[in-house]
Amino acid sequence: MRLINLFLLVSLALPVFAHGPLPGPLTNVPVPEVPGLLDGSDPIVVDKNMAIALGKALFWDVNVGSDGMACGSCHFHAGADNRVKNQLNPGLKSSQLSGQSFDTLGSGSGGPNHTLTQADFPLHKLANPYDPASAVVKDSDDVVASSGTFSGEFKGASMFSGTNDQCARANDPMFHVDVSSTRRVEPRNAPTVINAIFNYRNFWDGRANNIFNGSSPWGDRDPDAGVWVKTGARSVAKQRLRLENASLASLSVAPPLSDTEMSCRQRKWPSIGRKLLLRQPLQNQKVHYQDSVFAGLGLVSSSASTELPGLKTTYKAMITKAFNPKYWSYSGTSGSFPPPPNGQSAYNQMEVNFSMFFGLALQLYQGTLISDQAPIDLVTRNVANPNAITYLKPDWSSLYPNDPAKVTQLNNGLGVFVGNHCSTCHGGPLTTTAPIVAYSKLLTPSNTNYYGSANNKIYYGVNALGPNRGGQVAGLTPAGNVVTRDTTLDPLYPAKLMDIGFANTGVADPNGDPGLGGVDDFGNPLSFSYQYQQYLAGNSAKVVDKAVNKVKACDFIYPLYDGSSTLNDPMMFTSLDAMEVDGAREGSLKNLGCIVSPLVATLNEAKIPTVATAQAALNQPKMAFATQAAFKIPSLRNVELTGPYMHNGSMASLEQVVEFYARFGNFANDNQHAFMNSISLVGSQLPLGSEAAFAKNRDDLIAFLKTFTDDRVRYERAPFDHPEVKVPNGHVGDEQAVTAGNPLQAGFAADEWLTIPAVGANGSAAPIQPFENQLQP
Amino acid sequence: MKTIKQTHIWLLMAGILLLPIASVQASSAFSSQGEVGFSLSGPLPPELSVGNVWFDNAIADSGTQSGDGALTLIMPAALPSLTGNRYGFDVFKVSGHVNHGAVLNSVYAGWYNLELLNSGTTSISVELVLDYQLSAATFGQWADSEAKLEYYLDEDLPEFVRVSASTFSIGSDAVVGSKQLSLLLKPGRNVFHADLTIASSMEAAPVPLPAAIWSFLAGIIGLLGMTKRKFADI
Repeated sequence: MRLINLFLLVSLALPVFAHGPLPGPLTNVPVPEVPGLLDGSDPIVVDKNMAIALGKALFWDVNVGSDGMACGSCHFHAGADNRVKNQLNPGLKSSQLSGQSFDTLGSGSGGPNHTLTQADFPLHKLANPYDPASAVVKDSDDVVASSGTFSGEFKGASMFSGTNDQCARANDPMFHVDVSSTRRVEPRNAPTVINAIFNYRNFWDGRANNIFNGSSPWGDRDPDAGVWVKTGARSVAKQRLRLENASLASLSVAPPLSDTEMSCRQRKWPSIGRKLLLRQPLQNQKVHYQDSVFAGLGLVSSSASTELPGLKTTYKAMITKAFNPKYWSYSGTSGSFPPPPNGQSAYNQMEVNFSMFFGLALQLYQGTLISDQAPIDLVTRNVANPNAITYLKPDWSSLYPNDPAKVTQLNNGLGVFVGNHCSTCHGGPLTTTAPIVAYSKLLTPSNTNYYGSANNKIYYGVNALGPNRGGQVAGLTPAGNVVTRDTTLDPLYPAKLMDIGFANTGVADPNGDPGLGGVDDFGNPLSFSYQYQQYLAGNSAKVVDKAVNKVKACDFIYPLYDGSSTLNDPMMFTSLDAMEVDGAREGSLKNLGCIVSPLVATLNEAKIPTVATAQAALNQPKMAFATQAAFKIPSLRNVELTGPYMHNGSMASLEQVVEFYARFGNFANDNQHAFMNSISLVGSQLPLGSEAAFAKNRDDLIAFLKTFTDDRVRYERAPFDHPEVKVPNGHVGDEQAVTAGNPLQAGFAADEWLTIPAVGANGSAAPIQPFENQLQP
Repeated sequence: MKTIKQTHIWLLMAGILLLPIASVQASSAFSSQGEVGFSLSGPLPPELSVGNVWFDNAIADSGTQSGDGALTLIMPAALPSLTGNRYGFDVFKVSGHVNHGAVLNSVYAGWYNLELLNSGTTSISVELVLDYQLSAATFGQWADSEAKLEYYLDEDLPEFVRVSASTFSIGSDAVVGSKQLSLLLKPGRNVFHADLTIASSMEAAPVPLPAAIWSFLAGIIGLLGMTKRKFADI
């Protein structure tokens, strides 16, 4: 406890710009390479541009889903979803019974086919939004997310035409209005895909593994994963695939099989391949004649006067151009291929490898969705001296020379952002610590490598993320640790292991959704922190993600070991404990460049407990981890446009988000990050505790957050242009009554459709709007 | 007023129902083929002799057929004809046609083999010319067909030539060419392979009824209603 007080004193004493990472420019930040994908003597992808085109087509193609859903159906608005009708899930991730039923929200209504209004938000509402002690006016464990598929049991799909699969469809016990089934809704809000390429892992719970295994999201954890490789003229063999930094490939192969997002149940990837391979991409969806990806490859039929659907090719042809033939050129079938559905011909190699083509194409396409031309990227920064306390400070007058009031506002907003440690978790150019590999590169000293623009270079090095070794405050170092040790609001033993890039801020009841604290399909905990604990204890079978073996203890924010202490400390290993040199087990010591702990202000030692010591301490606070209800820290880039906010979509506006932080969160719990209690948005206005006291700092902070919006995203200009997509947008009627007679099944509610028109490289004339702008009162 | 007897209406309705309304389809077809020849060129090493030269039908998978979908197969003779120094095989052709229904995932493969014997104790080099004609053609709504020729010596990894056609893009594709190959023959028996695979799918697209038929039907149903009212008045 003494150490926490020391931390608070230290942080308050330092000037605002000295503490932690700063939000820097995304310009020239390197996308982590995927070894073997495009490089080497036998790359998997032989034509990157064709693979990107394949990925863009598959991302937006509604034929991928069983009943009209594409990836883009939930990721069309600044890469996220701004629909307001039929967007509620009852809270199905909850371990409590209340998650099985829909709540009445603030408007007096809710449930399937409800149209969200301002009155519904925030889902957890206090009488005074700034006062954590004020009465709870409304609370719900419902989740505002994305409506998807009706689902059903998969039977088959046509190979040439027809968007909908043949499925045995039945009434849904959960998602219905009266007796008519409605489209099912996801249990977590759709995050933006823009800039997601940088995240070490993806999904709110991190389950989209950094390693892509070719057929599932689970990386090395899936014993059955693999791809079929042609090994000789007449032979094919299943082989393990292991591509690093391919988390978006891992992610992409999940939603097309999900029975809430896109698919009928029991549908497998080769069946999706069989459905799509002989078809035109975007078969019934108009493509803009100036599409930034397709036009240059001569794939577009449209002209300036006539907009036509489809690309001038087939998915099979695109794959043969983009991918190494050893993954598709085997003739015929093989006994090692998975069996087809009843009555169908055996699969061929291109079908059984379709998950790999899909995942890698989507990885490469989404790798082009980088928004690095926002005001925060364009503003000139102080880069003359990396050791200056004002290193990286933006000079807003360079962007707004005739608007001194705005300059003052943005300076204050940035000051609020940094002074309250927002910038520590929402750290660096991506405004999240989730991009572990990218940041480790930026922090590795170099005389030549830089990020930022060429006339405002930020050289890689220890201060590259923030002055005064700012990256280390967030546990970020060249070692690229996936785990750190940090502090929580646990009153007794605050220090715990945490996954870097994930945090519990107390948005919802921790039982409402375990987040990172969940398990994979094989029963293994998702988190790296759990695995690191097991690594220390010598239980190597529990370390299913190999990156955990590389964790470097002396780069932790809060140390694991205090060699100067002779006490028996439940929260620390001390000189009373048998320790060993970190890295001795692997024969590669991890003892170079150890950091001074930002919290304790002493040099960390490169020591970990011996296996016996760790085994004995497994249930003690010194080995504890904080993963329950921790979620991936979202990037704030384009946050102005990506509402509603948080994993449960419970906040409609940035004002509500800022109010959430100002009251230290919604649900205090022992895994909540320690920073949550040290937030102060109070300004000098009176009376204290009133909205007036908070309003100026809140508004300045929000003005600053809007500097993360890239106008190319706002106007859907290249690379954010896209084909036409018709998105299900609720059902005819409302939450009381619907019109039945959906062509899919007579008992299903009729769909209403939102047509997002095709946009070319020059974007659309009208800007896309923030989520709350379309909410009626 | 002239009346329409109800029986006449029912006869008309029955006649309409006999029309193959539900099965009005567009048809589709494909035709793909390959032709292969081997020639040994240049001065032949004395240790070299040609053994058997032959064709095998290795894969004959007619896929999943429905409706009136049907395939026609023309296979080369097992033995080639020797003209000068060229071993030439007859054409290998797969074609199909469907008016309603489909033929999906058909795969036919033929293997052409040239046995080359090296009576020496060290490897010898020989020049081989592989000549080929490949074509794939698709018609109507919808079809996809490809012809692929892989060539290799013994257990080596093959190279290949491929043509592909789809009614969604390039309707037909063809290539005529030859490959000049330097083969290194180990002592004893070597076999040079050319594997030809033709993979095709086709499905007849359903065609919506012309609008005139729907007006006609609506009119008949209307007439039926009038007749009913007339009877009810009595």
